[in-house]
Amino acid sequence: MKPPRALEILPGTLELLVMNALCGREAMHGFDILRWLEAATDEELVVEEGSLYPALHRMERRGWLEPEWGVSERGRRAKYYRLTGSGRREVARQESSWRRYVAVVEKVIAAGAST
Amino acid sequence: MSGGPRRRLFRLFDRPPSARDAVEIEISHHIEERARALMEEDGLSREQALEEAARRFGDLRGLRRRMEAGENRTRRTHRRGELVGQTLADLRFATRGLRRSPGLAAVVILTLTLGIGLNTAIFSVVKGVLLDPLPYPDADRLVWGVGSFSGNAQAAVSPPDYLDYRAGSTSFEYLGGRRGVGSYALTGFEQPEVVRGQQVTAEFFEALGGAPVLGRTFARADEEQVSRIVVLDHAFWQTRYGGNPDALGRTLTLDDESYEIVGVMPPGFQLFSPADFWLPIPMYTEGNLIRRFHNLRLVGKLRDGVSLEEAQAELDVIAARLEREYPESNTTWRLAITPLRDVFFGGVRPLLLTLWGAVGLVLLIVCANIANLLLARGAGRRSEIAVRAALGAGRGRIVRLLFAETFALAAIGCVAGIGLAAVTLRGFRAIDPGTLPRMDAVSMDGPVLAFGVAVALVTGILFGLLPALSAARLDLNQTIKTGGRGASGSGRVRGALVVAEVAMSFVLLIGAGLLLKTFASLAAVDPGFESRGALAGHLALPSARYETSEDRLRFFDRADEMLGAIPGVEGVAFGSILPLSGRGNDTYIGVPGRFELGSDQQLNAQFRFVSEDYFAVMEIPIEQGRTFGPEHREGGAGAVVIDRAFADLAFADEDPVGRQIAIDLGDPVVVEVIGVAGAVNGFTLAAGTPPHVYLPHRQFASDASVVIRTAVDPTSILPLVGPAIAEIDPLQPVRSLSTYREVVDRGFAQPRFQALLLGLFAAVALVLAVVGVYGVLSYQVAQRSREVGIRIALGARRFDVIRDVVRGGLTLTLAGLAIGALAAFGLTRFMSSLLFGVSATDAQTFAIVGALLAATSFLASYLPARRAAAVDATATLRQE
Repeated sequence: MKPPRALEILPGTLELLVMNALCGREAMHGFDILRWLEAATDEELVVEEGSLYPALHRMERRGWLEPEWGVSERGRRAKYYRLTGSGRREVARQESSWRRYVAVVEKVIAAGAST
Repeated sequence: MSGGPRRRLFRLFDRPPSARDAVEIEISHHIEERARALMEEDGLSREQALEEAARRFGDLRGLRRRMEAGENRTRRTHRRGELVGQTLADLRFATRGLRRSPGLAAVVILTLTLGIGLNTAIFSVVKGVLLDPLPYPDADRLVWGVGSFSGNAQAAVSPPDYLDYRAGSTSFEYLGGRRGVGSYALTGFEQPEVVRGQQVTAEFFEALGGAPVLGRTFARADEEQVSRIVVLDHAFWQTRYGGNPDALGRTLTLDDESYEIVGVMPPGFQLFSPADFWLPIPMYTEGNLIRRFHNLRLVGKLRDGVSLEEAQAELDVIAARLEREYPESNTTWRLAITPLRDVFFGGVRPLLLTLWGAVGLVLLIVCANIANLLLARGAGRRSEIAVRAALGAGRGRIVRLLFAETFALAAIGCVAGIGLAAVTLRGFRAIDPGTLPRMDAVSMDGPVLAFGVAVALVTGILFGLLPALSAARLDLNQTIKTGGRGASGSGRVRGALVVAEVAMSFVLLIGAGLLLKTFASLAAVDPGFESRGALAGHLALPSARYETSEDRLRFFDRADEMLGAIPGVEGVAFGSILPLSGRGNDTYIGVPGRFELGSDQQLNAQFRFVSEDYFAVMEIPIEQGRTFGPEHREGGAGAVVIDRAFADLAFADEDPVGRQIAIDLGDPVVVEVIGVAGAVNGFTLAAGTPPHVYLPHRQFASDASVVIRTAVDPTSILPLVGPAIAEIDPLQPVRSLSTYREVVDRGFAQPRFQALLLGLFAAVALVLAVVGVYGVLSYQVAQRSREVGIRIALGARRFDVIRDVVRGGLTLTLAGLAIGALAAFGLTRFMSSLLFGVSATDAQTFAIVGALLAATSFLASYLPARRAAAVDATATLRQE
């Protein structure tokens, strides 16, 4: 059963999620990435197709992802994405700032609860 | 989860599709996959699944559009990156190639550096001095006005004439007048000091567009009586008054008179020689009402829309009226106006254009040399290029590689050249004796840098790429078959380039030779007096302290005594103006019964007041009669000494001694000629010996310059002069005191400067041309070593081989000389205004320069010839 309500993606975190999907893995095409994210979040997170592809292209332009044209398992032409060196550095950067952000937010919540 | 793409099996598909297809493939692939999942997992029908999959994209059409645009952007960025990468690779290849032949690279870069550097430096001067606008508002409407009459087109204007022109003309918005900058004794500060002041009329400041930053300038009312007021230069105000506005209203003591400060001009307000302050001219005092005394030069601002010709026509009408009204003073006189710009730069324009032309020629030689070197290199690389082409490099790729090489050379040459230009400019400033106006405003600004880069691009790329292209256009088969020695027409091209180089060097060397000879001619001028072992200075006695001529004479007698008592001083004399001081004072002279004063026959001569010992101290010979004695004093007998030039003019072959002449000193003064002195140079060495008449200083005690003849080194006496005068009058400075030799040397400054510069450029050109000749012949020798080897093996004498090679070099040189001589013949007359004592087509200069060029290029041909003769016949033959 699907959970009643899926979470919306926080603005600015889609890139981090996508790059994590590609981290240490073979090149993936868009649908694979989407499915990987759904599986990894137990389908609690909804990634919309309309924002996934522009995000992929944006990251490609910035040099974090490298495109690769190939043929899928079912014999269809498909565009694959692979994480580049600068993409890996970017993941690390975004992860650490995300962790700091979460920690700060929790601190604020804790402070709010104790008063 | 699917694995990665199976790309290795399907390399053919690896090529990315177009942007539109790429987006379409990506989206439809996604929809397909999603639909498959929906069918498998949720059991939807295929139609339902496809519909649902598409729905999840939301606005699919808008997304496609956005993604397509994004894709296109991505591809552009990518392509740019790839191009840069390829270019960098080409450049790396180029530098590697150049490093393989460092000698050639060094010569090309050095040559380029010279060409670009010299041209950029000269351009910066030409731009700063000639092209940049004058530092006045509406500078194109400014004109310069001088008096012009039958005897002199560059005379001054008399104050009454100026007032009539100012009142009568409507062409000018403003018409002001000024006298030359004079020196004044400034007292009231720590010690008496000589400062520079300029007398100007009303409207002078307005014409030049200078509004005071403080106070006011002069109005017409200030001219109506003697106004003791002064307007300060900005820098003077800053240094003397710390820029304090309360300087206004304070007094300045100049030549013992108090002047009230009424205004301060903005920084940089100056015209020609800089002044520390400006004084108004009282236009209606006795001395300024005489129409025969011309002492103003005018600066006017034309009304908007009035042309120079219209203004001149109006001034001519006024001049004609004045001529009718005052025939005795104004006959043939008019006011001639020229654009102020021409006056500013008229003197240096020929020099700068000559220098610009010279460096332009150097640049052409540079181009020829580079083309030559790269042609040779291109020919030497035929086999390499052919191999590359055979291995599949396209023509475009080969040209790109060669282009990268040229570009690398040009870029290095450009940077080094601009550096050299900066150094050259600094050197210029150091050696420029003040010949060039506005040198301080000259800088390596944006346009100058752009000029340097443009020169680099044109020379480097045009003259480097063309030979490269010619090398790339080759026949593969033939080149590989002949082992790279493919015959080509480039030999003839290279010969022609050498001929051009020699011709251009010839022109430059002729220019330099003529300037050198000018310098020598000037140095050989006998000025008519002895400038070695003498000091000169000026004593201007303020009328406030020295009212009567007795006061003045007493001062000069005491000065004679005090200066004469300095050990080492042989003699002391006074003269109103000294020869070669750059100043003059002329008047009309009549010879009764022959050249009547006031008629159009009257003569014009320089007049001077000199003391009794003047001729002896100056070492000007008295050729006939005698000089003045103590009896020639005020109220004594009227006597005059004339010089040889005036004697020839007025008396031809007759004996002038005892004859009478009439001198116009406001009123005609009739005096008797008691002696004839040797002729002397007037203003400058180049200006010849104008006629002079000398009157006794004792009779007309005016301000005077002092000459001190010394038995010892005059510089040792120099510091003793001021104190000696101070003992007579502590407030009296001695102005412009220096050795007389320095005064004379100042006249050599510009000729020396221009001869030095052109000589330098010509030397560069000569070296480049010699390198060119040497390069071509060495190359030919290298190419022909096989043929020479065969000839020697067949018994040819080494002398014949040498003769052949040298003959080839000399043939090129002689062709170059012939063309160069014709070109020089046509071109040097443009520099005739820079020449003195030598004609623009001086045969001796042509002969010497021709011989020099022939000799150097003989050397340049002999060295490769000797190498050819040393060819080891068996080794060359075995080589292939």
